[in-house]
Amino acid sequence: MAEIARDGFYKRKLKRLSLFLLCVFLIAITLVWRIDNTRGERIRLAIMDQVVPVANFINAPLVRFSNLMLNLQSYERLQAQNEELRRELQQMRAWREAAIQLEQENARLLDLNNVKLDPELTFVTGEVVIDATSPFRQSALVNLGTSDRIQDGWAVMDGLGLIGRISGVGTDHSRILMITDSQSRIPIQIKPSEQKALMLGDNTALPALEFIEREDQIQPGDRVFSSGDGGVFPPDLLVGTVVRATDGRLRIRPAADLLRLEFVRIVRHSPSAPITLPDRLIGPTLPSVTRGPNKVNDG
Amino acid sequence: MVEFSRARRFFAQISYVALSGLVILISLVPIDTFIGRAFPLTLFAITFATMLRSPKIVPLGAVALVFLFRDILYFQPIGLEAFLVVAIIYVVRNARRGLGETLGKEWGGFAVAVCTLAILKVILTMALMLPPPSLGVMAVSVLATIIIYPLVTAALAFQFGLRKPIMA
Repeated sequence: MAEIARDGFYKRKLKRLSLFLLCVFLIAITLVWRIDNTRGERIRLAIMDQVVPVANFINAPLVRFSNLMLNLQSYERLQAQNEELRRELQQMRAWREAAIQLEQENARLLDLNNVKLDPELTFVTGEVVIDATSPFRQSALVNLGTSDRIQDGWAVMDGLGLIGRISGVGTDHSRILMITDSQSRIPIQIKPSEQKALMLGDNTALPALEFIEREDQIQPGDRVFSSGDGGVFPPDLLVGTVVRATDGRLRIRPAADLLRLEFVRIVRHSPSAPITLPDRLIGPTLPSVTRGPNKVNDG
Repeated sequence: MVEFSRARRFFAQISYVALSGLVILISLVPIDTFIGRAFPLTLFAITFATMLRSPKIVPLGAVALVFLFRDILYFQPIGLEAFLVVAIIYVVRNARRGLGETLGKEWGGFAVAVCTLAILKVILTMALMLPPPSLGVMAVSVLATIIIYPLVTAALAFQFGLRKPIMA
């Protein structure tokens, strides 16, 4: 009887010790992740590279089903939609005609003025495989990685507007940090008032607008573009429109549909070389002083 | 308390881990589901309810494993939430005799546990100098999880035959 009691006593001690070790282990992981953050994130992405194919396999029927339901809903109003589209097409044709004419005129004028424009941005398109939107993080995983030459910091857009930036690249997957994440800060420009400001994500659907010089010049409905300051993003990517939120602050309604991400474009962008030597910018390079005596010696 | 044979208990533990993995992966589907968005703490509800019904199915090691996996896939601080959940589940397990009596008591206990988890998470996030989560979203998800808790217990009872034990 006494032996059994002692057995139980040791068992309980052992259990408590293993619990203690478990807690220490978990805290240690957290601290290591916090201290060596880049390596922690790289390990996370390596694990995700393994897990994502499994997740896609499991989720395939679910995605299929949800798409089926969406399609069924749209079959219901096929007739109405068809007419609507035909009307829209008619209008678009007119616009297209106008756009072509304007483009030709623009090209002629640019040619006359000998203007050098920035090279057009190219992009890679990928598919969103995981959507990890939680109260803490607003991020998604896209199926492009270092094997597709994706680099950290590149801008991500859907067809229309900015979604976020690449933050963490694995072999086959990279993570998109959305503009709504509380870590996202993006320099922007508001048109038509041409004011520069900062877009701060705060985990709500509408990112806040900060550091505006003259708020009275900004009106709800103004369009917001990336400003290209700091070399973070190429300039003039559409971000969204200014709205006044219920809390009275000016906020940005993203042009991209952040709730339904399927395909995204990653904009290839290498910032132009910074100007480090100011004297190189003005005037031709001066001949170096040491050259004269050398020549004399040679002769 | 239901007594398991060793093999059955092992099978039940494996099922818990597999089910949790499934819940995590499904909540990550990139379609407009509300599971992952509104109820990020559903997994905690499942763990809590299972623990009250049959603590042998959810050993703390398995809980740690599941929530570590969840931290990694959810882009959260790795290990932070796993530690908090293990600590809270351990505390609740020691106090489960008082909680198991009525659904009301159990529900109340769960509400307290979820709130504690959320508050500690915010405090520890700040202590680690990480940007704190938006409190509004967090409050909504905590409330949503508390509201669906009876559904989770019902699902456990009907799907897996896990009913509340009669405490002596």
